[in-house]
Amino acid sequence: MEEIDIQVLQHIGRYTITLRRVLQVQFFDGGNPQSTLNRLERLGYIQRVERQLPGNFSYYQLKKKGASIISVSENKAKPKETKGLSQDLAALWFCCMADRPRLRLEATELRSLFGAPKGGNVIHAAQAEEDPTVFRLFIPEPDTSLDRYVTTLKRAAHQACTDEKLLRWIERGTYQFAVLLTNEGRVEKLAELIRANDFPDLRIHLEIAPSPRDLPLFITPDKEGN
Amino acid sequence: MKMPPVLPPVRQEERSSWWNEWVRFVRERPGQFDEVDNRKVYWGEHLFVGAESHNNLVRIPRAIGRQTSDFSDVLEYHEVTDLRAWSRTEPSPLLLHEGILNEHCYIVGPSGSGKTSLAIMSLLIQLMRGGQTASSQLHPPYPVVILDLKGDAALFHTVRIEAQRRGQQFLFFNTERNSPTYRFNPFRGFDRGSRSVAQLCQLILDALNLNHGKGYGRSYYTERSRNVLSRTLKRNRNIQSFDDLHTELKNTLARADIRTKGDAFELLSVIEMLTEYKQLITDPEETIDSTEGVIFMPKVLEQRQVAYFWLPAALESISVSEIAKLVLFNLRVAAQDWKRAHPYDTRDVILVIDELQRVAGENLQGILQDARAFGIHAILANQSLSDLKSPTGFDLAPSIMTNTRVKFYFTSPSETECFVYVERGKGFTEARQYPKLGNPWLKDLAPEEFAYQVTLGWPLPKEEYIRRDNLPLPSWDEVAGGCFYRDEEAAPEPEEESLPSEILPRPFKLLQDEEWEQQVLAIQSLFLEEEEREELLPTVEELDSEEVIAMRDAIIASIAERGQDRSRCLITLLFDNYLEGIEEVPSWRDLWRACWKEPIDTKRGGDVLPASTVRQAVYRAREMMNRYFETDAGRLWRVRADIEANDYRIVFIPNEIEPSS
Repeated sequence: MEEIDIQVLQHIGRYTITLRRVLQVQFFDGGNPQSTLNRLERLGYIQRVERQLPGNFSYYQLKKKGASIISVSENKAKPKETKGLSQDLAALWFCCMADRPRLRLEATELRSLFGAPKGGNVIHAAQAEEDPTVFRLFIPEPDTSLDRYVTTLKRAAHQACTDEKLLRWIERGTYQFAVLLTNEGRVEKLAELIRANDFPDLRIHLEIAPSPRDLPLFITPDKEGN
Repeated sequence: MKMPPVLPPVRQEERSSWWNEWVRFVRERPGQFDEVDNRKVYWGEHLFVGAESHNNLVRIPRAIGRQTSDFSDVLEYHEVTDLRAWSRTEPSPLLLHEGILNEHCYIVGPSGSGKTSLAIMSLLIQLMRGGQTASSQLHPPYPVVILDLKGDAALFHTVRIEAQRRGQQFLFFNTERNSPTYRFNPFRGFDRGSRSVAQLCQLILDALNLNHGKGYGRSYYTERSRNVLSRTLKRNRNIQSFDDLHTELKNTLARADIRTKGDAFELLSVIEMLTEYKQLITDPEETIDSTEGVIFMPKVLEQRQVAYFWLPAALESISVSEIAKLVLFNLRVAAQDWKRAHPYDTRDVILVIDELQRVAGENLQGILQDARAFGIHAILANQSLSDLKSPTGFDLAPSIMTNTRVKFYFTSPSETECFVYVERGKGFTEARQYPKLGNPWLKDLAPEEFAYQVTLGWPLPKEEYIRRDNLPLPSWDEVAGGCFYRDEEAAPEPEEESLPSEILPRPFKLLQDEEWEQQVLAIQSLFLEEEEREELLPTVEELDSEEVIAMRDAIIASIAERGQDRSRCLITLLFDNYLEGIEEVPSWRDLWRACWKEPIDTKRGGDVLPASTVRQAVYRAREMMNRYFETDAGRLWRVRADIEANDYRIVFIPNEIEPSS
């Protein structure tokens, strides 16, 4: 195995899924990652999952063998449910396709910052440049009513502010919420709703990231290939 | 004094001198009276409106032929006066008795029709200058409150000049930030000391239009707001302003459940918006008697002051509308209190609202109905009756038509003409006969069919009007007590202003201290390779075995006695492995043997259960360790012990960053 193989496996281990386009940007300076992917697939470390994304897109995920070689939980090799895929895809995009480096945090990393994270499937990402921040990611489904979602968000914000440990980070802007939405219209609407609601002083960042359904709008299919 | 010509001059520029001649002729003739219904009616009790002529219903004669006898063809003609026809009266001056204004005046007409310059100014100037009745002594000036939701500089300066002329103190209120203004504390105006919490709640809800009335859903939100407000006011009896109220409301809601917070959002947001205006706050030490730079409605009444609220609604229509409503409720409360305290000394006050539609709402209806009883004489103006319908479906128009006794309709195509309808006469003012039964407005008749057609005159020459319209608002020199912003200007808050407005939920100041630096370092270290990270963060090598033992003992001591719980055993074992430097990671079987001391059934998957038991016990032990490090004692450790996620061994990670203090 080459150094790049380990890096790619660790990358997939961290984000649970990846796309060819993401690997191109992250590890190959726009070059083709296909030979690496083929090699890892042939060795039984990763699998290509087809027909879960619209159009001609497929994503890559660890297999049990791959999870064990990089010492991550075998859960990461389990097939994705629709909601899980949607969350992982948006988080992957937020971290790897943004204009600044971000990192989806593992539970141990999170624990090193705040102690044990509350709530099982909560995704956090860190951003090192410009305003170093840890984001708690909120990824509503594209059809979710934002009028109702803002209530969930508000409740989570108030809860976060009652956590003394988190509050020390919130007060310094190093802990923020990030809501990933599929288009500009939804971003504007949610921004309005947030302004109109009684939120505590916790910074909320809104950003656009694809859902599985909208992925073709974010990547041109011919470049993504198969 | 020679009577001026009834018809106005043809040349427009001479109209203002014609108007002034008439005003002097009517209002500056002491002792001049006529008898009406055996009662002396003085000329000086009237306001000059203009030269009017109107349609008069007359009966004119006609001839009716009758047969002279049953069998005759001969007709005999008789004259019968029964033919009804309209005739136009000769022009005459229209004088409006001041007493008619007790029941309010309504002026309606499109933009630019002259509502302000021809009607409001004309009436207001005469009312402020006063009239001579039995003697040359003028009656005391009226207190005047003006709500100008358009921002008419000519009206502002005219009122100011007229106030100075009568020696009345002129107070003005402006919502523009850092602009010269008197302060106005509407909360103090409600005079908390003499009102119960329930009364105060009702006043605030009514004034801020938060009383949604009865009905499904509506009463619920009213009651929720009332409940939160009442709890807040009961808890703190020292609230002196909406700023104080906002702070206390937030405290109340901080302890409330999410549903209450949601239900009270409207109340909180309306009051929060009011806190943006520093001119709505006064110091608790400032009293009615001690303060000159503050508009207190009781003082306006007592000292017959003129209070001008300059509230142009174009830029901030919602907030100025709330402020205008608070002014109205303050005035009503002050007038009500005055009447109670001085039953034999009535204090009539002139209220002018220009652009009435900005304050139209259910709460204004009550004020209109009560105003006459408390001596408030309202002059209301807006562009169209249909503007008085609120989006909620409430229509103020019927109430306006019912509660106003004189109406000016600026619907004539002529620049200086309007139609005036007087519902009930007084003094020399005759009521206009309405040709059909019922309310003219409801019957949808054109005003020209029943009203006086009046040619008006401008109170000011055109050049003077333009000059006043271009004058700037007064400087701080004209505000008693001077600029109250001074302290704030000396200590600006640049950080807040420099924050971009797109920050959600709102810009707020972030702490940037030593602790922030440590947090940033911790985040940045996540992006480093392991070796680099170790250089950056405190390492566990610095922990000696004594510290590790002390930590272990502290963790175990923090675990409550719980019968079969194996957590203490597991933690001790893993710590011992660490202290002894055992690199081999124990399996679940090793842990079972050490802590359960029971044989394992290896046949037919009999080991599934103990494996699961061990896994769960390790999970619980880990939780207990985490719980310890969240206690005050646990937070003091620089590093914290943890059980690695996939291996049964102790690892040390940096503990949460402690505050620099």
